[in-house]
Amino acid sequence: MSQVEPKIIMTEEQSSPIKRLQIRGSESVKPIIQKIGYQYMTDFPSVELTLSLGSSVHGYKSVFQGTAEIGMVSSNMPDELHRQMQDKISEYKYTLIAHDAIAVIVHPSNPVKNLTRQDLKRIFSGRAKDWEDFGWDDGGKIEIYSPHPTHQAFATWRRLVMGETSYVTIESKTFNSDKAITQSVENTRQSIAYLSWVEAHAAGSTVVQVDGQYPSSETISKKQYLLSQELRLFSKIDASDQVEKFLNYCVSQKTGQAIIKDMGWISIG
Amino acid sequence: MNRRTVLKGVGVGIGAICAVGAANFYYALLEFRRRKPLIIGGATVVKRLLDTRLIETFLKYYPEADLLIEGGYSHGGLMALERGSIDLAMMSNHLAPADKLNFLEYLIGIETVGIIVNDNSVVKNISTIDARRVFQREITNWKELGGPDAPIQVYSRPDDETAKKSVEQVLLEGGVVHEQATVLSSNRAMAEKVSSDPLAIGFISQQGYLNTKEPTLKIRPLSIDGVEMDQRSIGLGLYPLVRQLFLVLRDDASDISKKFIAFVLSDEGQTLLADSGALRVR
Repeated sequence: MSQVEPKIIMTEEQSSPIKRLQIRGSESVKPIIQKIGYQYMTDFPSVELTLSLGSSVHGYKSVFQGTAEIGMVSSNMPDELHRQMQDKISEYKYTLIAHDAIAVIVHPSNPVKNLTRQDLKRIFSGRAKDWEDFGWDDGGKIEIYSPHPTHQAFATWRRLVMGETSYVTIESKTFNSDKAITQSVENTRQSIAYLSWVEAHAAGSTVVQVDGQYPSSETISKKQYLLSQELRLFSKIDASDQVEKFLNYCVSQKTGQAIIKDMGWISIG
Repeated sequence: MNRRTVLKGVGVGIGAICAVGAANFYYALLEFRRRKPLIIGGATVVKRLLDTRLIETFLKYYPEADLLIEGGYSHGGLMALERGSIDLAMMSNHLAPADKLNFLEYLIGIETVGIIVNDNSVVKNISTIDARRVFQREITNWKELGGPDAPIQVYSRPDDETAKKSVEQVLLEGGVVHEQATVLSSNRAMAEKVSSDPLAIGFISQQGYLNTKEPTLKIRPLSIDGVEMDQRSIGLGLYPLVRQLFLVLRDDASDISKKFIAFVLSDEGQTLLADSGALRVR
């Protein structure tokens, strides 16, 4: 992957005193950066941040190519990108800003307390259709709810549970909002769904164990809970002072991390 | 036939480009050997902002550039770029698919629309859904928006105007502003009308709003879904009526293509973009 004269573009003297930074990448990191970024611009009115959304790959790629200063990433670098950038990878760094996870939720009356990732893959690919298979004798047919395929949790679920070769069955019902999912599960006895742990936790949904582990801020940050993901920022090691200042703001307990805790997300320490 | 004729197909249909094929592309390279071809295609909203004094100024600096720009759709532009039929693709709102590792996407500006009312209006905020219903005349009385029991006067702009397109594509999701809305011919006229009519509602690009902002004009943008139209919420994508504008090129792009991007992102280029209505990002 080559860069297109980023030096010419990025270091051009700007006549205005405003410092502009571009941040780009994963939707999973968006809510946090929107909140922290808003406070940052309020505290430092001479800074303007712009946020463009795509996937983690966009986050990595844009920083490598110099089209954005900061990448938002919630998954590891794809092998192909890693291979292409092998010689230069030591010039870049990660800044961990928060932890997140996918929670699996069911109706409060559901007696099933634990499912393995294999179980979940069978259920969501449509191969296991009855709660009886999982020890709930009069549970009946499993109702599968999923976030819409454009939703970030859908991509994360595919990566962590389904694997690249399997898709969520077309018999599943998809929802556009987290709220619609938690409410529908609350109202439907045979249902199962997945969504961001933060949202499930906030809604007070009934969460099941995955591979014998409940998600909690402790099991997620220690990665004992297997459907955990780290939310990180990706940048050049020798980036501008403006970039470093923003990264420091995100990880500082007094500023960024206080905002993250306030939002009910899992802070870094 | 050369790439100029090939490009006509970008807006109309990709089929045309397929039919012409690679042979013409190489022929075109020979033909343009002396002058430096720079063919730009894709989203019309980006074209409208580039095809102004910005391109005029670029050509002053680089007279050797043989520049052609044609509007159409973001995806048509990307496909033409992949095929080598164009040098730069214009995109609005979305990045290229993640698997295109050889595409570089430069954010060049952000287009924003404000929904404006008279400064004396008691209504300060509107939901996206209500705003949609106002411009499609499903809501016709201010009472329904928490205002007085009086008819809403809806003001609009001509069909080819940028803010109008934005309202229809982003807010109305492809719908159209109701035909009974009074059409005004300029940002200035819009601002003056809303300023003089306490029952008016209209829309204006954010830049148009800034340009017409003066003490005598009593206009105010509504917050939408509780989000104010300010720099912070526009940049972070919290304010809903925004479109991010991108220029995309391949990593094997020609020298003149790179120079064009560098110019658009330079202080001068960004100032010119802002003059034609976009928010600068560099």
